[in-house]
Order: sequence, then C-alpha cells, then structure tokens
Amino acid sequence: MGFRPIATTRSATGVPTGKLAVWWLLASEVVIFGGVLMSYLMHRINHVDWTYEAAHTDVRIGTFNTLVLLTSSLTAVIAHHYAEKGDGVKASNYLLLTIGGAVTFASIKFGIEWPTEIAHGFTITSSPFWSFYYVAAGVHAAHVIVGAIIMGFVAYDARQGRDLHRVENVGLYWHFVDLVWIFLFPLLYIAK
Amino acid sequence: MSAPASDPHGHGHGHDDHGHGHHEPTFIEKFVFPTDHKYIGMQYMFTGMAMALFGGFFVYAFRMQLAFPGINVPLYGHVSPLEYNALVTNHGTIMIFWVAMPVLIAAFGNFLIPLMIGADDMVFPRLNRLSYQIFLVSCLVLITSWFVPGGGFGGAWTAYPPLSSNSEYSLTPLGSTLWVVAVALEFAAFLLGGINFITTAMNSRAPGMRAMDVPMIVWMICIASILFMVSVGPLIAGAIMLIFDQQLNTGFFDPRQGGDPVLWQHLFWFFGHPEVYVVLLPATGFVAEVITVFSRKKLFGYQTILYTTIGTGVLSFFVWAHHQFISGIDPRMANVFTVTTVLISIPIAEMMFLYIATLYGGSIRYTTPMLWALGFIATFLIGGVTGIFLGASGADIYFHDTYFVLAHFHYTFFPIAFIGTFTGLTFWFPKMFGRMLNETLGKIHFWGTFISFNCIFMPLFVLGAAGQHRRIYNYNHFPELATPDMQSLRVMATVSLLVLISFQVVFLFNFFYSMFRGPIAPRNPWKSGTLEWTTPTVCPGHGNWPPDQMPTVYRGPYEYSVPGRELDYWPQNEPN
Amino acid sequence: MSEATASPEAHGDHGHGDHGDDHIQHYVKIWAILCVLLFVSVAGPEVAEFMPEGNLRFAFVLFTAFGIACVKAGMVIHYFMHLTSEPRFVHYFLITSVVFMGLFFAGSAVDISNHSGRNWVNYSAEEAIARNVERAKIRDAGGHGAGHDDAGHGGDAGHGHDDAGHGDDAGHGADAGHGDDAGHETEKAPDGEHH
Repeated sequence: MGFRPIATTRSATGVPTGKLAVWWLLASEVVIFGGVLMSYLMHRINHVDWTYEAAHTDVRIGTFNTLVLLTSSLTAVIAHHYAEKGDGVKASNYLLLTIGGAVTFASIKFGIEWPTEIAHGFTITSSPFWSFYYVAAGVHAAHVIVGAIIMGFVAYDARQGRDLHRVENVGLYWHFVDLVWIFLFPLLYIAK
Repeated sequence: MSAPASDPHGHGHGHDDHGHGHHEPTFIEKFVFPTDHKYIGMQYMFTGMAMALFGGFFVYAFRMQLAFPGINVPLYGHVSPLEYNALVTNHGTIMIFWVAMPVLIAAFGNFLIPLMIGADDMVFPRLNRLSYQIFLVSCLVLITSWFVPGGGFGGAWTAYPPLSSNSEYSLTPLGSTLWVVAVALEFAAFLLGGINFITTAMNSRAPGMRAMDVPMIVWMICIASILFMVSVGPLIAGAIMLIFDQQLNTGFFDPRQGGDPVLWQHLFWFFGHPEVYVVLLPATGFVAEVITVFSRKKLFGYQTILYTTIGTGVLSFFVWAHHQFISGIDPRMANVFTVTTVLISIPIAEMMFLYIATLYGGSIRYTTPMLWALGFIATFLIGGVTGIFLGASGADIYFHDTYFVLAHFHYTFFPIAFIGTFTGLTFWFPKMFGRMLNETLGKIHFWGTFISFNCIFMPLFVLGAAGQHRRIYNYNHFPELATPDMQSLRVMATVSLLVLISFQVVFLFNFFYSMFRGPIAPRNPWKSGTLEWTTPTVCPGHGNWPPDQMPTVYRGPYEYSVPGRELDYWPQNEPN
Repeated sequence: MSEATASPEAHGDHGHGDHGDDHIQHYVKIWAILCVLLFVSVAGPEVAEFMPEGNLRFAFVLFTAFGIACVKAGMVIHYFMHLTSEPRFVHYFLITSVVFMGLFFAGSAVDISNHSGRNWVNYSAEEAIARNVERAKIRDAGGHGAGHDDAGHGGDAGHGHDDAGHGDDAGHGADAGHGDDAGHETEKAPDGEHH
C-alpha cells in the first residue's frame, strides 16, 4: 500500500486533501503571527518611546524587500499556472525563481539590514521595540527560509513531472508568507 | 480469523497480494518508525502512560512532604523547597501536555479516526510519524531538564514571569529554558497531528457517511484539534519571547525594561483556557460512545450535542481572563469575563443532561467501561459546578490561589485524563490487542480508583475554603493553616493518594497480562454499530480492510434497539 | 526582474498559448497594481510630513499605510491564492482565526497598552518609558546618521540639538515617582550619561 493510502485520494469536501491541509496550516499560522503582531500593536499604540526607536528602521530596504516578496508571489502563481497545465519543467523554473526571491530577501535582511542596525547599536536588547522587531521579522524570515527549502523539494519533483499538485500547495504557503510581510512592513517600517 | 498470540495485530497475513511490491516490514519499520496509524497511536499511548508514571511519582513525593513535613520520602528522599516547586510544576505540566493530550487525542485519535470513518490510514502517514518523533523529542527534552545543573523548572506550569524569565529568581537557568523548549516542541507535534486528523476526518470518510453519521468521538477529537490549533499561536509567540527573556535578557515581560508580565498571562491563558476544552472534548466523546453501546440506545440529541460543543468551543475563547481576576487586570474586563465564564457552564451542563437522557430508559449493562463512563459524569459534574464559584470574580478574590481552585480543576482534569482514558482503554482494548481485559479486576480497579480519588480531593475543597493557599511546601510555617484539623485533612488526602496509586497496580497487571494472555476477543464483543468493529480481524491489519472491501455507510452510528429488527444493533455498513 | 517580460515571449510557441498568456498577463497586471500600491503606502507618510500634526494626519497615515496593506492583502488572497473559489467553510475557518486575533487584542490591550490602572500609577513602567525616551533623544542628537530614516516625528527627535542643551528637557520631569526609586539598579545614571 505504500505511503499513499486510499484515504488521501478521497475528498468528501470537494477540496483536495493536500490543499485542505495547507489551508488548515495557514489558519494556525495566522494565529501564531497574530499573537506576535497583536502583542506588538498593543505596545505600539501607547508607548511614546517606541516611536523614537521605530524611526530608525530603514524604509528603503524594507520597501525593496517588499518588492522582492511581491515579485516572488507572482512567480509562484505563474508556477502554479504551468503546473495546472501539466508543464512540470516550466513550473519548476518559476518555483526556482521564487526561491531566488526568498534567497534575495534573506540575504538583504541578514547580510545588510540587520548587520547595519546592530552596528548602530540597535540590538535585540537595546529597547522593547527592537526586541519585537527582531522577533517578528525573525520568525517571518524563518518561515521564508523553511518555505524555500520545501519549495526546493517540490520543484525537484515537479521537474520530473511528479506531484504537480504540490506546486499550488507550496504556492499557497508562499502567498501567506508574503501576506504576513504585507502587514509587517507598515507596522515596522512605515508607521513612524 | 482471530489473531494468534504471537502476532497480536494480525499483521502481514494475506496482505501481500496487492501487486504493489510491498515488502513485509521489518521490526524496526513496524514498531520504531511506523507510518500505520494504529502503531503510531500505540506509540503515543505507551509514551503517555510512561510519562504518567513520572507525573504520579512526583505527586507522591510532594504530597508526602505536605502530609508529613520534613519527612524523608521513601524512594525519593528529602524534599527541599526548590525541589517542591519543581515537583509541583512538572507534575502539572506532565499531566496536561504529556499524558492527557497524547493519550486522549493523539493515541485514541490516531487509532480510532481512520477506523471509525472507514479509511485505511490517515491522509499523511509520514507526517503522522514525524509528529510522534517530534513529540518523543519533547519528552526527552523535558526529562533532560530535570537533570541539568540547577534542576528542573519550578515556576508552576503557568510559568509567570519574572519568576520564569529571570534566573536570579527561578534559580534554574537551564531547566527553565529546556522546559519552555519541550512545551514548544510538544505544541509543534500536536499542530502537525491536528492537521492530519482534521483533514482525514473531513475528507476521507467512507462513501455514504454524511456529517451526522460520524461517531461523536471523531467529531470531538476534530473540534478539539481545531480549538488547539486556533488557540496555541499566541502562546507560541509568548514562548519565543520568554526564551529570549531567559537567555538574551530582552525585556518582553520585564517592567524595568518597558515590558509587562501581564502580557505573558494573557498570551498563556488565551491558550490555557481553550486547552482545557481541548482535553475535555475527547473524554466526553468516549463517554458518548460507551453509554450508547451499554444502554443500547441512540445518542439523545446528536445534533444538539454537536452544536453545543461547537458553541462551547467558540465561547471558550471568551473566558480566559478568569484566571487573572486578581492579577491587576482592568476590573471592567473582569466583569465581562465573569459573565462569559458563567455562561459557558450552560452548554456543558446541557451536554451532561443529554447524556443522562441517553441513559434514561435504556437497557443498562454495568460493564467496566460503562462504570467508568458513569463515573466521569458524576465527578465531572462536581468539578463543573465548583467552577462557577471561581468564575464569579467577587468570590474568586477569596478563592484564587487556594486549594479550592486545585480541587476544582482536579475534579475536572482527573475525570478527563484518567477516568476518560480508562473508559476508552477498557472499551477499545479488544480492538487494540485482540484480547479481552478481565472484568473482575477492571471493576476492582474502578471502585478503588473512584473512591480514593474522591477521598483525595473532597478534603482539599474544605482546606481551600478554609484559606489554604497553593504552592506552599510546608504549612507549619503558617500557624493559622497548621491546625491539627487541617493537617489531618492533608494526611487523609495523602493516604488516599497512596491507596489510589496502589489500585493502579491492579490495572497495570490486568492491562499487560491480558495483552498477552487474555481471552481472545470476538470480532464485535460489545455488539457496537460503528465501523471500527467491522474489520475482518478484530485487531485490524495493515490498511484495516482489504482494499476491495472498504466499507460503505448506510445509516448513523448509534442504531440500537431499532424496532422490528432481530438484533438490537444495526451496524453502519450493513446495506439492510 | 526580467522574468515578468520573458514569460509571454517564452510562451508564444505553444499551440494553446493564448489562454495561458491571458492568465499570465492577468497575474502580471495584478503584480503591477500591487507595486503601485506599495509605493503609495510608502509615499503616504512622507506626504503626511507636510501636514500639520493632529488627527487628520494620523488618519491619513493610517489610511495609506494600513488601509493599503489591507487592499494588497485582499488582492493577494483573491487573485493569487484563489481563496474566493474555495468552498465557503474554508473562508469561515480562516476568518475565525483572524477574528480571534482581534478578540485577543481586545481582551489584552486594555492591560498592556496602558501600564497604569484606573486608580494607580505604574511607576516602574513610567520610568522605563521616560528613560528610553531620554536615551533615544540623546542618541539621535549625537550625530547619528547612517541608515536613519526620518519619515515621521522628525521634528522632535533631537535634530539640531546639541549635547549641552539636553540636560533640561530630558524625561526627568515626567517621572512622577522619581524620588522614591532607590532600589532601581538598572541603566539609569542620568547625570553621568550626558558627558
């Protein structure tokens, strides 16, 4: 019987099993990020000192990174489009582009943005704002990296023409990661 | 077709002719790295039972200290104040996260869900295996935390900062962090497992099984998984913040750095309250299954129970700050939470009434599982009713942090974690191991446990109302609490605990002896109508049913005593 | 970002290229709108700099930064994730997650946003905040420039101040309980810090 039981092929709800599972995963991730973000918001509203600290995040890098993630969402959905048509090679290529976006995002964040901020003395302990900043952005970046790794496996399989439905599923996860950043960006960078 | 003693799971006979090229699994593949839901369920069950031994040993040690302060506890030694805190903390943490959840949800959920919905396995068997492995790692991390320098974490299972975040106060710099990491890993394991359960139950039902034909226990485990999934997020965020506070000196919960300890409390209890319903629901599910079978009656108000449960689940998110009434929260919020807390007693009470209505007029058979189910209803009612005292914020000003709270939650948690587990275990033992448990030993175990449990916790209500506060290691330091009357109640509770523990030996003997030497079970020993009893062998093999014999469902799960039929039960999968 | 232009061409040699092209063009259009929205949301607070302080400015920033974030999110959800073509129950449980986050905020923010109670002052927290503000002002006045972005509150972040003038307007006046905190041993040293 192997690892693909009959159970996996059934769909009493009409939604394919893998996709349904990803939607539930996203529901739980909403609450995880929600917890971090709500805690951040509660402090941000009334803590005067936070506005002084928040002035020092770099809007230019933040904007560029947002652009990178938006574009990677585009390549992810195009990959899904090709997977739907059965073109595993093209789907794989676009997934690789998406991974490239993830790598760009992470490199800029860990290679340029954070080292600069740390060099200027904005470490995780320097003030509560920065503690939240590093935790929120860090948890998000961890999701970006894990997502990119999983996407790598899916891209490899897709190139051989296997399990093309997973392209959509990993894409859904990726769009979610983008969504979190869409909210994180104004909170951490723009709202001064 | 019954399984021979040497191969209790009926595995590997006659299943190799699918043409899949599927080789016979090795011992390692079958028992150490299984993907079969039944084996994974067993792994969770035995791990949970082993952790219960730890949790039980800890409570033995600290209750001996409370009854006979300063004593050299046999098999343990002297209990220092620091050790007392660590014992209490780890007792609570183990029992909730490493006994109740794995056994009630992961073990029974894994074992039962595919069988009861007519599927051959969970939809993601390898993810299932990974969930268990993460869970096992979390057990090992927790156990490690007790042996590192400084000892195990002692800041209560609620881990309030600054005690939990500052090692100057907790005196357990490593233990605290390992404890938080263990809990976080356990959460990850259950999130993954929950996704598996929900997706399987939603999608992989047998043809013909409509939503209202699903056995109540499957609904309960799914709703519990959803509750867990939606509530645990803020606490995961909080756990990350707490670890950083502990190790990196950030100030998320430190007022000196602009943080707030009450934030942790909110993050914790936003999860903590739905969590108690997460463990309650499976226990009530077991009771539902058992009382229908042993009163030969349909479940009274299936849809009502279902919608009530969903309502309870939703409402459970609106009550969390009743744990924080006197921690300095805004009193106006306390008013709101009092109202919601008292309201939430209504759906649960309704559920109990519906169970009693199920029993009414039924043809009751007092088998061991039935005794446990009835015992659950009786004791849980006491627990629930005493919760109303605590839900009223005015009364809670007095009762908070007293033994009244402790007795209340043990009158709810013990029924959930132990009475519920025994209900399920004694009922599904034939399915799991192909043999029958001994009824006499089962009844001795039941009465011994039931009576001694009440003798432990009734006195604690009295002590709590008299003002005994929690988390004190020696009441001799408080003259007004060290009166002879009060101390004798403590001794009574401890002695009853020793009796309770000794009766568990009866169970363990019955359990392990019957697993290997018990009478072979017939295919449907309890004459139940649900699908799990329709597998070709009583102990299901790989894939549960042969692929060409997967069941189709024609009716609901509780068609008992249907007029005009020869048998008093009508299995779901029989066409007519 | 050359892939956005490369895809229509690469696709041209397939027999059923038109359908695919339409879809991809559609996605690229959505992406372009998202980028425009991104720039508007960043530009918003910059423009708001020129508005007078007050509710209108605050509302403007809120609308551009967060309102646009919501619109962008909605577009990603609808056009990229195709959530709207999923059965309703999927919407319901996702919305439930979001709503519960609002519930968490509602129940906790009352305690966390404002450290003091209705009838009492949280001296520890007030001092911590005042200390942080003071430290931030000193740091900003000290010629700190690289990577600094003053897209808001630029006026009072200490520009143009020099060290000597700082002693007077530091947060000391704001500490109601300043005199009684003999026990505090953290990084206070208010007088030593200035030189």
